[in-house]
Amino acid sequence: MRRSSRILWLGSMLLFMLVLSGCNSIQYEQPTLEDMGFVTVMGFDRAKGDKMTVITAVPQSSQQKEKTQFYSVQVSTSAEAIMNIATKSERTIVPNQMRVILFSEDFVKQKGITDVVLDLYRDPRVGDNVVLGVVKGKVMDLLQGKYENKPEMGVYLNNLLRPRRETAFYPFTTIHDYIYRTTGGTADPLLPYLENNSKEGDIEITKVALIKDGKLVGFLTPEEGRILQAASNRGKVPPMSYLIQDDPNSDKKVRVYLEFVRNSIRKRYVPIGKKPAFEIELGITGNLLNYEGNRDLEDATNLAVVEEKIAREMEKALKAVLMKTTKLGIDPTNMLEKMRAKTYGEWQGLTIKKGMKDIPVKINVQLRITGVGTLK
Amino acid sequence: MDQGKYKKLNPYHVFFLINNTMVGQGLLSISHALSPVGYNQYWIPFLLGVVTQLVLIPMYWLGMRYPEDNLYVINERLLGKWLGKLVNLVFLIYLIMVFAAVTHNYLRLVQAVTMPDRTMYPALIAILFVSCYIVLGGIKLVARFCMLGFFFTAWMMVYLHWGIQKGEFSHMLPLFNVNMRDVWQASYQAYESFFGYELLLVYFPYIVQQKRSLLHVSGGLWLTVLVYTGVSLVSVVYFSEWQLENLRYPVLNLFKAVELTFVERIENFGIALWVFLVLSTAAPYLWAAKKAMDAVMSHNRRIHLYVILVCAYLLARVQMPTWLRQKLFEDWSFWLGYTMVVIPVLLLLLSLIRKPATPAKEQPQALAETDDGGGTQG
Repeated sequence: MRRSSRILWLGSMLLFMLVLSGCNSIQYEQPTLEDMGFVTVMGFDRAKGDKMTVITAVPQSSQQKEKTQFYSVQVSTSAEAIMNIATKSERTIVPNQMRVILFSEDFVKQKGITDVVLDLYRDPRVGDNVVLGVVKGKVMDLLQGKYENKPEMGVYLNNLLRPRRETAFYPFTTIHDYIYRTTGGTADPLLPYLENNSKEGDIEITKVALIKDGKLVGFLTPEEGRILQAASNRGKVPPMSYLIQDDPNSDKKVRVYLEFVRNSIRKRYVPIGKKPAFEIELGITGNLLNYEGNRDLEDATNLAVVEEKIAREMEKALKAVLMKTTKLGIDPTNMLEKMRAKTYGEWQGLTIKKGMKDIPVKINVQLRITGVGTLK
Repeated sequence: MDQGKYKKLNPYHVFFLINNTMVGQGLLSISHALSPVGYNQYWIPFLLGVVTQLVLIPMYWLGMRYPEDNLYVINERLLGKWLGKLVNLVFLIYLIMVFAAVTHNYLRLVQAVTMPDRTMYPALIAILFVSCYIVLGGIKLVARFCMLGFFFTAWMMVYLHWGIQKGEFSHMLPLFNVNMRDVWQASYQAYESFFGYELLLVYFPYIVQQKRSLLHVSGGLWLTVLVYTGVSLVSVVYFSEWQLENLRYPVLNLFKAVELTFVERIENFGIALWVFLVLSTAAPYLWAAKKAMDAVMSHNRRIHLYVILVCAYLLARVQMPTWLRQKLFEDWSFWLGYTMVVIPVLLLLLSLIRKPATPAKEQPQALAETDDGGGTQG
């Protein structure tokens, strides 16, 4: 390239750069990390008409103390909530760090949560591992309660609802799990039920909420939840406690307490002729840490008797839970998946669920006690 | 780099060229593309692998009949100058469209997932710039970049572990409760994920061990089938049929399932790393497009590469109705892709009917280059 043409080329480039900069649109400043407000908890309460009250918890860290800002808006969709809250906050509100989504009991009963969860599932900024929960009363009251010596609300609720053996009586339902179960046509989602225990200054998971078509239809106690979880998934099961009739000459029942429980589960679809039927074989191993009876558990025969009695109690408990859930037309154990996997043609999940209470389920529990503690 | 040596693609280059050109384009959405057959989808990649293998055989035969010529030269030799040039022009349009579509689709994903409030044109320019840089290094550098892309991203398969852990294995039980229409629709949609091997005849003259190349190409193909089957299996286990049908990028949601103690939202990391796969798909297409333009214009000039880049930029960037972009990037490029797969088979038949192939007396200019700095290398 000749020198003159090079100068011409460079000159015209400079001219274009200068002149064309006027065509640029206004560039809004990109927020820095400090300017961002990360929503950690989102709550949904019912409002008048079709609207809902959305509450968001946004942690604000200062040098002295961690604080949480709460914003509340009345909107029709969750996406609208983020948009409206942005106008109230001095920071850019983003849902990328969301960990917990809570719904008030009234909201789940009357309005249903599927649409809201679907909206959040659609938003790529929201993770799939965000946990869901149902709250007694209003979410706003629970979030704004005074909890002494507890970390920031988002961290506290996230830690409370994350999988732990002690609270494994409900299946730690995340957004993905909820959508998977709701759209799968076999299992139904379960959610933890939280109560504000204001006397003791903490939040407690008191029950398991049963969800059908996105709406709350009933509850399970933690005891019922434990045996149901044992019958749903393989792995570690929370500690269990049962009352057994140990002495045939006495009406008095004795309490047994199993710890470090592991289970194996086998669910089978075994139709009788054309009529559907299921078999559940539940194998449990664990340590018997508390036994209030008079038998000498060092003796293998006595131990086998106790094992048998506890196993029968477990069978009874599982049968009762399945009766309760099938009456409601829901399948929290994902038993129907075994049927779907063997059914040729289009899966008629809804129709089958309606008649679930009439499907016989044969339950067999085998218990093996691996230890009885260190005290004779 | 690679100066003076005409045949430069070693077996492992061919292996990774085939594999990465395919994977970068289709892996993110293969499970979604296969959703018409629901949970029965995981055997379809195997089926499509067999089809691809069968198509590769005539391609290989054609390549062996004209070992010194690329597809564009063979076109002109067998179809005549003008018809050959016309077909080459169609190929050029297809290759530019695929190149633009691959970069555009990736950037759209990045914008949706990681940077929703940023404009994507600087990123687009960056990708075009890097692709150009790779292509300027010649086909060997393209192949080497494919190897790099493979090793940089293959370890991400470990993340499928979370999907398996949480999933329901009974979804895998084969019910075969699908009709032929569903299988056809799923195969048709998913076959786009297998495109990439059609470039074989463009770089065939550069392969060192041409006789054994079918083995190396097949190796690359079946690695792709293995990857697709693995992802498809995990998707079947982890998702419901509704999710498979409605999630555009199931692999993204499989990344979202990952829970590590030291880092959260690993999908952002995965999407960022995906750029290696995208580049290793885009670069071979850009290189092949440059060769096509050389053949159409009967000259080997570097400016052709820049013209293609400008065209791709305009295709990806210019405001156009969504339906038109969809037609261009999905429907038309899809059909042109099938054309590029079928034409070598027709050319083979034509070459069998005509007299046996003889080596070209005079190398067309598009191929007569050496890998010095004078033009696009390779």
